[in-house]
Amino acid sequence: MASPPSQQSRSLSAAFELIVPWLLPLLLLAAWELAADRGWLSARVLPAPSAVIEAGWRLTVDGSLPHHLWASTQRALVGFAIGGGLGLALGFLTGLSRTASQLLDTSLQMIRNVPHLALIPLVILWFGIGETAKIFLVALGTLFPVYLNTYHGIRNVDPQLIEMARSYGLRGPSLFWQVILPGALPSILVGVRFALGLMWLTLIVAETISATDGLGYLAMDAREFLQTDVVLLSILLYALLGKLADLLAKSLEHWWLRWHPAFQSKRNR
Amino acid sequence: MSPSVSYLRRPEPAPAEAPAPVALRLQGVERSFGDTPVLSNLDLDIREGEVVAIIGRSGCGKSTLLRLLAGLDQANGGTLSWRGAPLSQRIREIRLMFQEPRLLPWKRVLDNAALGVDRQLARAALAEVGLGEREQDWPSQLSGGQRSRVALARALAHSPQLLLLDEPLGALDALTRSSMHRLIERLWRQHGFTLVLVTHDVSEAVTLADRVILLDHGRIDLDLNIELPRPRSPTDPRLVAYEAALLERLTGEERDGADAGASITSIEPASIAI
Ligand SMILES: Nc1ncnc2c1ncn2[C@@H]1O[C@H](COP(=O)(O)OP(=O)(O)OP(=O)(O)O)[C@@H](O)[C@H]1O
Ligand SMILES: [Mg+2]
Repeated sequence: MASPPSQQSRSLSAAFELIVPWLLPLLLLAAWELAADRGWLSARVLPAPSAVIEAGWRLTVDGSLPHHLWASTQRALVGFAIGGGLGLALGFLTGLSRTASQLLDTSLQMIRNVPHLALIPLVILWFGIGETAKIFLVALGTLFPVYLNTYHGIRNVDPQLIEMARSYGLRGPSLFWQVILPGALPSILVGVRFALGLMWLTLIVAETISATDGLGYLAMDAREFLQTDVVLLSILLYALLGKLADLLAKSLEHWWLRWHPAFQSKRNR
Repeated sequence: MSPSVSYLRRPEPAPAEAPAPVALRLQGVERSFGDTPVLSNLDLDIREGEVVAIIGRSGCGKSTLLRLLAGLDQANGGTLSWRGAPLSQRIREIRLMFQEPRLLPWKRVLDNAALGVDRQLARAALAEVGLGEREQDWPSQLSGGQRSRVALARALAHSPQLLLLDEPLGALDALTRSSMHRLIERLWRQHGFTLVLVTHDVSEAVTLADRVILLDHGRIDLDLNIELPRPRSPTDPRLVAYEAALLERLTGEERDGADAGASITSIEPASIAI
């Protein structure tokens, strides 16, 4: 027992570290199930977790859940691709060209200060309540975090490194790909993670207001029929999807920033 | 590795031998920032293959001069030429190693050394500075001295004809410095480039250089040939005497202005030999 930490105890502590973050949610879930089971909680207010899972199974079997999930995911991805892509492009433009930044940055900062959800009435007037309106809102919500962080990332690339690279003969595209982009990447990825959070938030709001499918629609529809279990199910699914998107962004970070001391695991060293 | 081989390739020039042609020529070079002149009317000739150390007090314009030579900055007046052509036309033959290693943290050691050149050249250069084993490491995994050597390999990979070093060893401990001195001297013997080295360290200057130039208020205050055979031992009394004389000149300036220590504009090594 007094021996130095063995391989076994080290892997044990690793497993422990993996479990700890989930302890509290699991405990809450158990308490919730117990409370619902004992009738302390009315099913109208908060149905048991088992009821929510049951609802999920029911809707999966009848095909409506996959349908709604797919509809939401599609909107999220298309909106993010447009907004994130535009934000990235604008960030590169203003980050790399002083003229572009003088021309655009002030305007973009002004637009950024308007909460994009405040535009919903206007967006409905413009696009009606169809797909375009929702994709537009998601794109608008994801554009600014990506834009801002790209712009600042590029502006903050160490000028000494750029000077060095220039003096070693790097110009134009090779300077961009080898020095400027990797230098800005940590900041860009922070923007992407922010944008992914805003992507789901925007989608919930947009789908709750007007939609004929998607998770937001599922929740609103269930509310009309007092199906609290389905409402809860869609809320949980939002949480899960948000977490999934964040995990994806994190693993991208780990791969792209593997040179960064903060991302170097002991294994990598 | 053995220095004796490089001796054969680059024998010590006999005193009677014709001097090498002038490679780098500065005429009336001026550089000022705003109203403050940093370099004024600077004339300097450096011969092919020469090792020149530039010393001087902090802020006297050493880095400014080196940045002009590297084409990173433009002079306000005067001409700079390298091998008979304006310096800017042949800037590819010139490489500067900065005071900080300035490695790209997102590139592995090999790709850092291969900046702007073929990997094969970078690999050879890394082997020359003794870091062939570390080519797959990230810069953050290297020690300070190893990072300096990667920066040196990066410059060497471009096969520069004129290598400029701006206090490259400033942050290193004495032991690492002296092994870097030997490395730099060996590389100079093997490649035969012209070397201009800025340093704070007088002993570094007299150990490495054929000529030590003391810069003061943007002018050349002293241009001293160090006539000692290589390799030089830091304990050689003649070298110690050069060092003491230069130090006296430097500190004398601080005490009483430019005319102090004027008596040592030239030092006869024979006269100070014990
Ligand atoms: N970009 C710049 N703008 C304004 N002044 C500058 C600039 N670069 C250098 N100087 C000034 O020029 C003078 C010489 O600077 P330089 O960097 O050449 O000194 P140095 O001899 O290399 O000093 P050190 O030994 O401390 O490195 C300093 O007074 C400095 O303030
Ligand atoms: Mg300097």
